[in-house]
Amino acid sequence: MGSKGDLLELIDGSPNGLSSLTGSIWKWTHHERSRRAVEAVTRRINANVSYATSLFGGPLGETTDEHLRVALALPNRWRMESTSRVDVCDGSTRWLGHPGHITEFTRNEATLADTDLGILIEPGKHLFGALEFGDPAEGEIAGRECMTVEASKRRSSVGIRHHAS
Amino acid sequence: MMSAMRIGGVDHTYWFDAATGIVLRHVGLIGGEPCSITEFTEVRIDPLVADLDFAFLPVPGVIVERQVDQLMRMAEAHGIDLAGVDLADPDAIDQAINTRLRHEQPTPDARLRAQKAKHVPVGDPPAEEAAARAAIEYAFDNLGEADTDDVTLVNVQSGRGLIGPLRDAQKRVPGAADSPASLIVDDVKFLRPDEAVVWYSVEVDGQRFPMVNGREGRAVEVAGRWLIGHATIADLLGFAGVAVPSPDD
Repeated sequence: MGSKGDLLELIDGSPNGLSSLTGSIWKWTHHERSRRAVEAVTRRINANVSYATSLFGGPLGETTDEHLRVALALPNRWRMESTSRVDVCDGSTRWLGHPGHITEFTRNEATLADTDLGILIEPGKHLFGALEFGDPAEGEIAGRECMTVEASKRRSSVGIRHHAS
Repeated sequence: MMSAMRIGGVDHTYWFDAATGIVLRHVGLIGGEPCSITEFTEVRIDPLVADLDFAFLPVPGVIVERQVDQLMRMAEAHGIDLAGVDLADPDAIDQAINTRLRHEQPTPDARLRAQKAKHVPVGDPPAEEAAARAAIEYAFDNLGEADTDDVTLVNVQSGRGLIGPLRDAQKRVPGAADSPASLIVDDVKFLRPDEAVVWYSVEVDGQRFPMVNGREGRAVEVAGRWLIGHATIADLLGFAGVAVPSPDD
Protein backbone atom coordinates (compact mmCIF):
# COMPACT_ATOMS: atom_id res chain seq x y z
CA MET A 1 0.00 0.00 0.00
CA GLY A 2 1.32 3.42 -0.73
CA SER A 3 0.34 4.57 -4.21
CA LYS A 4 -2.85 6.24 -5.31
CA GLY A 5 -3.51 3.27 -7.60
CA ASP A 6 -3.38 0.90 -4.65
CA LEU A 7 -5.87 3.03 -2.76
CA LEU A 8 -8.30 3.25 -5.65
CA GLU A 9 -8.03 -0.48 -6.25
CA LEU A 10 -8.60 -1.20 -2.57
CA ILE A 11 -11.75 0.93 -2.30
CA ASP A 12 -13.10 0.00 -5.72
CA GLY A 13 -12.72 -3.69 -4.95
CA SER A 14 -14.13 -3.52 -1.45
CA PRO A 15 -15.12 -5.86 0.10
CA ASN A 16 -12.12 -7.62 -1.42
CA GLY A 17 -12.46 -11.36 -0.83
CA LEU A 18 -14.97 -10.98 1.98
CA SER A 19 -17.88 -13.41 2.03
CA SER A 20 -19.28 -12.97 5.53
CA LEU A 21 -18.82 -10.77 8.55
CA THR A 22 -20.04 -10.46 12.10
CA GLY A 23 -19.36 -7.75 14.62
CA SER A 24 -20.54 -4.65 16.45
CA ILE A 25 -21.01 -1.11 15.21
CA TRP A 26 -21.19 2.05 17.26
CA LYS A 27 -23.13 4.88 15.66
CA TRP A 28 -23.08 8.31 17.28
CA THR A 29 -25.17 11.20 16.01
CA HIS A 30 -25.29 14.83 17.04
CA HIS A 31 -28.75 15.81 15.82
CA GLU A 32 -28.43 19.57 15.44
CA ARG A 33 -25.08 19.32 13.65
CA SER A 34 -26.34 16.48 11.47
CA ARG A 35 -29.32 18.61 10.49
CA ARG A 36 -26.92 21.40 9.51
CA ALA A 37 -24.77 18.93 7.55
CA VAL A 38 -27.77 17.61 5.64
CA GLU A 39 -28.88 21.16 4.87
CA ALA A 40 -25.40 22.12 3.67
CA VAL A 41 -25.19 19.18 1.29
CA THR A 42 -28.74 19.51 -0.03
CA ARG A 43 -28.30 23.24 -0.64
CA ARG A 44 -25.23 22.43 -2.64
CA ILE A 45 -27.08 20.07 -4.95
CA ASN A 46 -30.07 22.40 -5.18
CA ALA A 47 -32.34 19.86 -3.56
CA ASN A 48 -35.11 20.14 -1.00
CA VAL A 49 -34.60 17.56 1.72
CA SER A 50 -35.78 17.61 5.31
CA TYR A 51 -33.84 16.17 8.25
CA ALA A 52 -36.02 13.98 10.41
CA THR A 53 -35.20 11.92 13.46
CA SER A 54 -37.34 8.98 14.45
CA LEU A 55 -38.03 8.71 18.13
CA PHE A 56 -39.27 5.80 20.20
CA GLY A 57 -39.85 5.65 23.90
CA GLY A 58 -38.51 8.94 25.20
CA PRO A 59 -37.37 12.47 24.56
CA LEU A 60 -34.67 13.04 21.99
CA GLY A 61 -31.41 14.19 23.50
CA GLU A 62 -28.70 16.30 21.93
CA THR A 63 -26.95 13.15 20.74
CA THR A 64 -27.82 9.51 20.16
CA ASP A 65 -25.65 6.45 20.74
CA GLU A 66 -26.61 3.24 19.01
CA HIS A 67 -24.83 -0.08 19.45
CA LEU A 68 -25.64 -2.55 16.72
CA ARG A 69 -24.91 -6.25 16.45
CA VAL A 70 -24.39 -7.09 12.82
CA ALA A 71 -24.06 -10.18 10.63
CA LEU A 72 -23.59 -10.28 6.89
CA ALA A 73 -23.47 -12.96 4.21
CA LEU A 74 -22.82 -11.47 0.82
CA PRO A 75 -24.39 -10.64 -1.46
CA ASN A 76 -27.80 -9.96 0.03
CA ARG A 77 -28.33 -11.32 3.52
CA TRP A 78 -27.81 -9.20 6.59
CA ARG A 79 -28.91 -8.61 10.16
CA MET A 80 -28.53 -5.38 12.13
CA GLU A 81 -30.10 -5.09 15.54
CA SER A 82 -29.99 -2.60 18.39
CA THR A 83 -32.37 -1.53 21.13
CA SER A 84 -33.99 0.87 18.67
CA ARG A 85 -33.68 -0.85 15.32
CA VAL A 86 -34.22 -4.14 13.50
CA ASP A 87 -33.03 -4.57 9.92
CA VAL A 88 -32.96 -8.15 8.69
CA CYS A 89 -32.88 -9.45 5.13
CA ASP A 90 -32.92 -13.16 4.24
CA GLY A 91 -32.17 -12.51 0.59
CA SER A 92 -35.75 -12.01 -0.56
CA THR A 93 -37.70 -10.44 2.30
CA ARG A 94 -36.58 -7.57 4.47
CA TRP A 95 -37.87 -6.73 7.93
CA LEU A 96 -37.17 -3.18 9.01
CA GLY A 97 -38.31 -1.06 11.92
CA HIS A 98 -38.35 -0.68 15.69
CA PRO A 99 -38.10 -3.89 17.74
CA GLY A 100 -41.76 -3.48 18.67
CA HIS A 101 -43.10 -2.58 15.23
CA ILE A 102 -41.67 -4.11 12.07
CA THR A 103 -42.47 -3.53 8.42
CA GLU A 104 -42.07 -6.44 6.03
CA PHE A 105 -40.80 -5.53 2.56
CA THR A 106 -41.07 -7.97 -0.29
CA ARG A 107 -40.01 -5.65 -3.08
CA ASN A 108 -36.75 -6.66 -4.67
CA GLU A 109 -35.27 -3.20 -4.55
CA ALA A 110 -33.69 -3.51 -1.08
CA THR A 111 -29.96 -3.83 -1.41
CA LEU A 112 -27.13 -3.88 1.05
CA ALA A 113 -26.02 -0.52 -0.30
CA ASP A 114 -29.18 1.03 1.20
CA THR A 115 -28.15 0.11 4.73
CA ASP A 116 -25.72 1.64 7.21
CA LEU A 117 -23.77 -1.59 6.97
CA GLY A 118 -23.61 -1.47 3.19
CA ILE A 119 -22.04 1.98 3.20
CA LEU A 120 -19.21 0.56 5.29
CA ILE A 121 -18.86 -2.67 3.30
CA GLU A 122 -19.07 -1.24 -0.22
CA PRO A 123 -17.62 2.29 0.05
CA GLY A 124 -16.65 2.36 -3.62
CA LYS A 125 -20.29 2.50 -4.66
CA HIS A 126 -20.71 5.69 -2.64
CA LEU A 127 -17.38 7.41 -3.12
CA PHE A 128 -16.18 6.70 -6.63
CA GLY A 129 -17.49 8.90 -9.36
CA ALA A 130 -17.72 11.74 -6.89
CA LEU A 131 -14.14 12.04 -5.71
CA GLU A 132 -10.64 12.73 -6.83
CA PHE A 133 -7.87 11.46 -4.59
CA GLY A 134 -4.51 13.01 -3.83
CA ASP A 135 -1.33 11.08 -3.23
CA PRO A 136 -1.19 8.90 -0.11
CA ALA A 137 1.38 9.75 2.55
CA GLU A 138 2.50 8.10 5.74
CA GLY A 139 0.92 9.49 8.87
CA GLU A 140 -0.28 8.79 12.38
CA ILE A 141 -3.87 9.08 13.52
CA ALA A 142 -5.03 8.41 17.05
CA GLY A 143 -1.66 6.91 17.89
CA ARG A 144 -1.70 4.43 15.02
CA GLU A 145 0.52 4.51 11.98
CA CYS A 146 -1.39 4.65 8.72
CA MET A 147 -1.38 5.99 5.20
CA THR A 148 -3.38 9.19 4.73
CA VAL A 149 -4.83 10.70 1.58
CA GLU A 150 -6.83 13.83 0.87
CA ALA A 151 -9.86 13.65 -1.42
CA SER A 152 -11.97 16.34 -3.02
CA LYS A 153 -15.09 16.55 -5.12
CA ARG A 154 -14.47 15.48 -8.70
CA ARG A 155 -14.91 18.21 -11.29
CA SER A 156 -17.57 17.42 -13.85
CA SER A 157 -19.39 19.15 -16.71
CA VAL A 158 -22.26 20.03 -14.41
CA GLY A 159 -21.78 21.47 -10.97
CA ILE A 160 -18.17 22.42 -11.46
CA ARG A 161 -16.78 24.38 -8.60
CA HIS A 162 -15.16 27.58 -9.69
CA HIS A 163 -13.27 30.18 -7.75
CA ALA A 164 -13.76 33.86 -8.35
CA SER A 165 -10.79 35.94 -7.35
CA MET B 1 -5.59 3.66 5.41
CA MET B 2 -7.23 6.97 6.22
CA SER B 3 -8.84 9.34 3.74
CA ALA B 4 -10.16 12.85 4.39
CA MET B 5 -12.44 14.86 2.15
CA ARG B 6 -14.73 17.86 2.13
CA ILE B 7 -18.07 17.74 0.31
CA GLY B 8 -20.65 20.49 0.45
CA GLY B 9 -19.17 22.07 3.56
CA VAL B 10 -19.01 18.78 5.43
CA ASP B 11 -15.64 17.15 6.21
CA HIS B 12 -15.44 13.38 6.12
CA THR B 13 -12.69 11.15 7.43
CA TYR B 14 -12.68 7.44 6.60
CA TRP B 15 -10.51 4.67 7.99
CA PHE B 16 -10.29 1.80 5.50
CA ASP B 17 -9.18 -1.72 6.33
CA ALA B 18 -6.00 -2.23 4.29
CA ALA B 19 -6.90 -5.85 3.47
CA THR B 20 -10.59 -5.76 2.52
CA GLY B 21 -11.13 -2.04 1.88
CA ILE B 22 -14.20 -1.90 4.12
CA VAL B 23 -14.72 1.24 6.20
CA LEU B 24 -13.78 0.63 9.82
CA ARG B 25 -14.59 4.15 10.98
CA HIS B 26 -16.20 7.27 9.53
CA VAL B 27 -16.34 10.70 11.12
CA GLY B 28 -18.35 13.57 9.68
CA LEU B 29 -17.61 17.13 10.82
CA ILE B 30 -19.36 20.39 10.19
CA GLY B 31 -17.79 23.61 11.35
CA GLY B 32 -14.93 21.55 12.78
CA GLU B 33 -17.26 19.69 15.17
CA PRO B 34 -18.30 16.04 14.76
CA CYS B 35 -21.86 15.52 13.60
CA SER B 36 -21.74 11.73 13.20
CA ILE B 37 -19.40 8.85 13.93
CA THR B 38 -19.84 5.27 12.75
CA GLU B 39 -17.29 2.60 13.56
CA PHE B 40 -16.82 -1.09 13.95
CA THR B 41 -16.04 -1.71 17.60
CA GLU B 42 -15.63 -5.41 16.87
CA VAL B 43 -15.39 -7.28 13.59
CA ARG B 44 -14.81 -10.85 12.43
CA ILE B 45 -14.04 -11.45 8.78
CA ASP B 46 -15.47 -14.56 7.10
CA PRO B 47 -16.87 -16.38 10.13
CA LEU B 48 -19.28 -19.24 9.64
CA VAL B 49 -22.85 -17.93 9.47
CA ALA B 50 -26.07 -19.93 9.30
CA ASP B 51 -29.37 -19.33 7.51
CA LEU B 52 -30.94 -18.85 10.91
CA ASP B 53 -28.79 -15.76 11.44
CA PHE B 54 -30.83 -14.05 8.74
CA ALA B 55 -34.27 -15.29 9.65
CA PHE B 56 -36.75 -13.01 11.33
CA LEU B 57 -38.64 -14.65 14.17
CA PRO B 58 -40.85 -12.08 15.89
CA VAL B 59 -41.24 -12.38 19.62
CA PRO B 60 -44.74 -12.20 21.10
CA GLY B 61 -46.14 -8.68 21.19
CA VAL B 62 -44.22 -7.41 18.20
CA ILE B 63 -46.35 -5.90 15.45
CA VAL B 64 -45.32 -6.99 11.96
CA GLU B 65 -47.04 -5.32 9.02
CA ARG B 66 -46.61 -5.77 5.31
CA GLN B 67 -45.53 -2.59 3.57
CA VAL B 68 -48.39 -2.90 1.12
CA ASP B 69 -50.88 -2.80 4.00
CA GLN B 70 -49.26 0.35 5.38
CA LEU B 71 -49.42 1.99 1.98
CA MET B 72 -53.09 1.14 1.55
CA ARG B 73 -53.82 2.58 4.99
CA MET B 74 -51.96 5.76 4.07
CA ALA B 75 -53.91 6.08 0.84
CA GLU B 76 -57.16 5.61 2.73
CA ALA B 77 -56.18 8.27 5.28
CA HIS B 78 -55.60 10.77 2.48
CA GLY B 79 -58.76 9.86 0.65
CA ILE B 80 -56.86 8.58 -2.37
CA ASP B 81 -58.89 6.43 -4.73
CA LEU B 82 -57.00 3.23 -5.51
CA ALA B 83 -59.50 1.99 -8.10
CA GLY B 84 -57.59 0.48 -10.97
CA VAL B 85 -54.39 0.19 -8.91
CA ASP B 86 -52.85 -3.26 -8.42
CA LEU B 87 -53.24 -3.61 -4.67
CA ALA B 88 -50.69 -6.41 -4.56
CA ASP B 89 -48.03 -4.14 -5.99
CA PRO B 90 -46.46 -1.74 -3.44
CA ASP B 91 -44.83 0.25 -6.25
CA ALA B 92 -48.19 0.89 -7.91
CA ILE B 93 -49.77 2.06 -4.64
CA ASP B 94 -46.73 4.18 -3.85
CA GLN B 95 -46.93 5.82 -7.25
CA ALA B 96 -50.64 6.53 -6.84
CA ILE B 97 -49.97 8.23 -3.50
CA ASN B 98 -47.06 10.26 -4.83
CA THR B 99 -48.99 11.35 -7.90
CA ARG B 100 -51.81 12.62 -5.71
CA LEU B 101 -49.82 14.19 -2.86
CA ARG B 102 -46.80 15.60 -4.64
CA HIS B 103 -47.97 16.55 -8.07
CA GLU B 104 -47.62 20.25 -7.27
CA GLN B 105 -44.08 19.94 -5.88
CA PRO B 106 -41.65 19.44 -8.75
CA THR B 107 -38.32 17.84 -8.06
CA PRO B 108 -35.19 19.97 -8.59
CA ASP B 109 -34.58 18.11 -11.85
CA ALA B 110 -38.12 18.71 -13.01
CA ARG B 111 -37.82 22.39 -12.06
CA LEU B 112 -34.65 22.75 -14.08
CA ARG B 113 -36.22 20.94 -17.05
CA ALA B 114 -39.17 23.33 -16.90
CA GLN B 115 -36.84 26.32 -16.74
CA LYS B 116 -34.89 25.03 -19.73
CA ALA B 117 -38.06 24.32 -21.70
CA LYS B 118 -39.04 27.98 -21.47
CA HIS B 119 -36.09 28.92 -23.67
CA VAL B 120 -36.57 28.00 -27.29
CA PRO B 121 -33.43 27.97 -29.44
CA VAL B 122 -33.56 30.36 -32.36
CA GLY B 123 -30.53 28.87 -34.06
CA ASP B 124 -28.14 25.99 -34.01
CA PRO B 125 -25.78 25.47 -31.09
CA PRO B 126 -22.11 26.28 -31.66
CA ALA B 127 -20.31 23.90 -33.97
CA GLU B 128 -17.92 23.02 -31.16
CA GLU B 129 -20.52 22.74 -28.41
CA ALA B 130 -18.34 21.05 -25.82
CA ALA B 131 -15.61 23.63 -26.29
CA ALA B 132 -18.15 26.46 -26.05
CA ARG B 133 -19.53 24.99 -22.84
CA ALA B 134 -16.03 24.74 -21.42
CA ALA B 135 -15.36 28.34 -22.41
CA ILE B 136 -18.53 29.47 -20.63
CA GLU B 137 -17.51 27.56 -17.54
CA TYR B 138 -14.09 29.18 -17.75
CA ALA B 139 -15.68 32.62 -17.89
CA PHE B 140 -17.75 31.96 -14.77
CA ASP B 141 -14.76 30.25 -13.14
CA ASN B 142 -12.63 33.31 -13.71
CA LEU B 143 -15.10 36.09 -13.19
CA GLY B 144 -12.50 38.15 -11.36
CA GLU B 145 -9.86 37.94 -14.12
CA ALA B 146 -8.78 41.52 -14.89
CA ASP B 147 -7.18 43.23 -17.83
CA THR B 148 -3.88 45.01 -17.34
CA ASP B 149 -5.80 48.28 -16.91
CA ASP B 150 -7.13 46.88 -13.59
CA VAL B 151 -10.60 48.20 -14.33
CA THR B 152 -11.91 45.69 -16.87
CA LEU B 153 -13.25 42.21 -16.21
CA VAL B 154 -12.07 40.35 -19.29
CA ASN B 155 -14.60 37.53 -19.02
CA VAL B 156 -17.64 39.81 -18.81
CA GLN B 157 -19.45 41.44 -21.73
CA SER B 158 -18.71 45.18 -21.64
CA GLY B 159 -16.58 44.48 -18.60
CA ARG B 160 -14.83 47.85 -18.48
CA GLY B 161 -15.26 49.53 -15.10
CA LEU B 162 -16.62 46.42 -13.38
CA ILE B 163 -13.61 45.55 -11.21
CA GLY B 164 -14.63 48.06 -8.56
CA PRO B 165 -18.26 46.92 -8.31
CA LEU B 166 -17.13 43.27 -8.11
CA ARG B 167 -14.74 44.04 -5.25
CA ASP B 168 -17.43 46.04 -3.47
CA ALA B 169 -19.84 43.14 -3.81
CA GLN B 170 -17.31 40.59 -2.57
CA LYS B 171 -16.81 42.62 0.61
CA ARG B 172 -20.51 42.31 1.30
CA VAL B 173 -20.74 38.54 0.92
CA PRO B 174 -20.90 36.99 4.41
CA GLY B 175 -17.92 34.74 5.03
CA ALA B 176 -16.18 35.62 1.76
CA ALA B 177 -13.34 37.41 3.56
CA ASP B 178 -12.07 34.03 4.80
CA SER B 179 -13.23 31.88 1.90
CA PRO B 180 -13.69 33.57 -1.49
CA ALA B 181 -17.02 33.13 -3.20
CA SER B 182 -17.16 30.65 -6.05
CA LEU B 183 -19.41 30.50 -9.07
CA ILE B 184 -20.77 27.09 -10.02
CA VAL B 185 -22.19 26.48 -13.50
CA ASP B 186 -25.15 24.15 -13.02
CA ASP B 187 -26.30 23.89 -16.63
CA VAL B 188 -26.08 25.53 -20.04
CA LYS B 189 -28.57 25.71 -22.94
CA PHE B 190 -27.50 27.24 -26.23
CA LEU B 191 -30.07 29.45 -27.93
CA ARG B 192 -27.98 30.12 -31.01
CA PRO B 193 -24.30 29.86 -31.96
CA ASP B 194 -23.35 32.95 -29.96
CA GLU B 195 -25.77 33.01 -27.01
CA ALA B 196 -26.61 30.63 -24.16
CA VAL B 197 -28.72 30.54 -21.04
CA VAL B 198 -26.63 29.59 -18.01
CA TRP B 199 -27.91 28.37 -14.65
CA TYR B 200 -25.37 29.13 -11.95
CA SER B 201 -24.92 29.30 -8.19
CA VAL B 202 -22.74 31.11 -5.67
CA GLU B 203 -20.96 29.09 -3.04
CA VAL B 204 -18.90 30.20 -0.06
CA ASP B 205 -16.98 27.62 1.97
CA GLY B 206 -19.03 24.78 0.54
CA GLN B 207 -22.37 26.45 1.22
CA ARG B 208 -24.68 27.61 -1.54
CA PHE B 209 -26.41 30.94 -1.22
CA PRO B 210 -30.16 30.25 -1.30
CA MET B 211 -30.79 33.45 -3.26
CA VAL B 212 -28.27 32.59 -5.96
CA ASN B 213 -28.83 28.86 -6.28
CA GLY B 214 -29.62 27.80 -9.83
CA ARG B 215 -29.92 31.46 -10.88
CA GLU B 216 -30.58 32.08 -14.54
CA GLY B 217 -28.14 34.18 -16.55
CA ARG B 218 -26.70 34.57 -20.02
CA ALA B 219 -23.41 34.02 -21.79
CA VAL B 220 -22.60 35.56 -25.15
CA GLU B 221 -19.83 35.06 -27.67
CA VAL B 222 -18.08 38.27 -28.59
CA ALA B 223 -15.21 38.32 -31.07
CA GLY B 224 -14.64 34.60 -30.65
CA ARG B 225 -14.70 34.58 -26.83
CA TRP B 226 -17.51 33.45 -24.56
CA LEU B 227 -18.30 36.07 -21.92
CA ILE B 228 -20.72 36.39 -19.03
CA GLY B 229 -23.60 38.62 -20.11
CA HIS B 230 -23.45 42.15 -18.73
CA ALA B 231 -27.02 41.92 -17.44
CA THR B 232 -26.13 38.70 -15.61
CA ILE B 233 -23.36 40.45 -13.69
CA ALA B 234 -25.66 43.38 -12.95
CA ASP B 235 -28.20 40.91 -11.59
CA LEU B 236 -25.60 39.02 -9.53
CA LEU B 237 -23.93 42.06 -7.98
CA GLY B 238 -27.38 43.51 -7.32
CA PHE B 239 -27.87 40.84 -4.67
CA ALA B 240 -25.05 42.55 -2.74
CA GLY B 241 -26.65 45.95 -3.27
CA VAL B 242 -23.98 47.04 -5.73
CA ALA B 243 -25.05 48.92 -8.85
CA VAL B 244 -23.24 48.15 -12.10
CA PRO B 245 -22.60 50.96 -14.59
CA SER B 246 -24.41 50.73 -17.88
CA PRO B 247 -22.40 49.15 -20.71
CA ASP B 248 -22.86 52.44 -22.57
CA ASP B 249 -21.20 54.53 -19.84
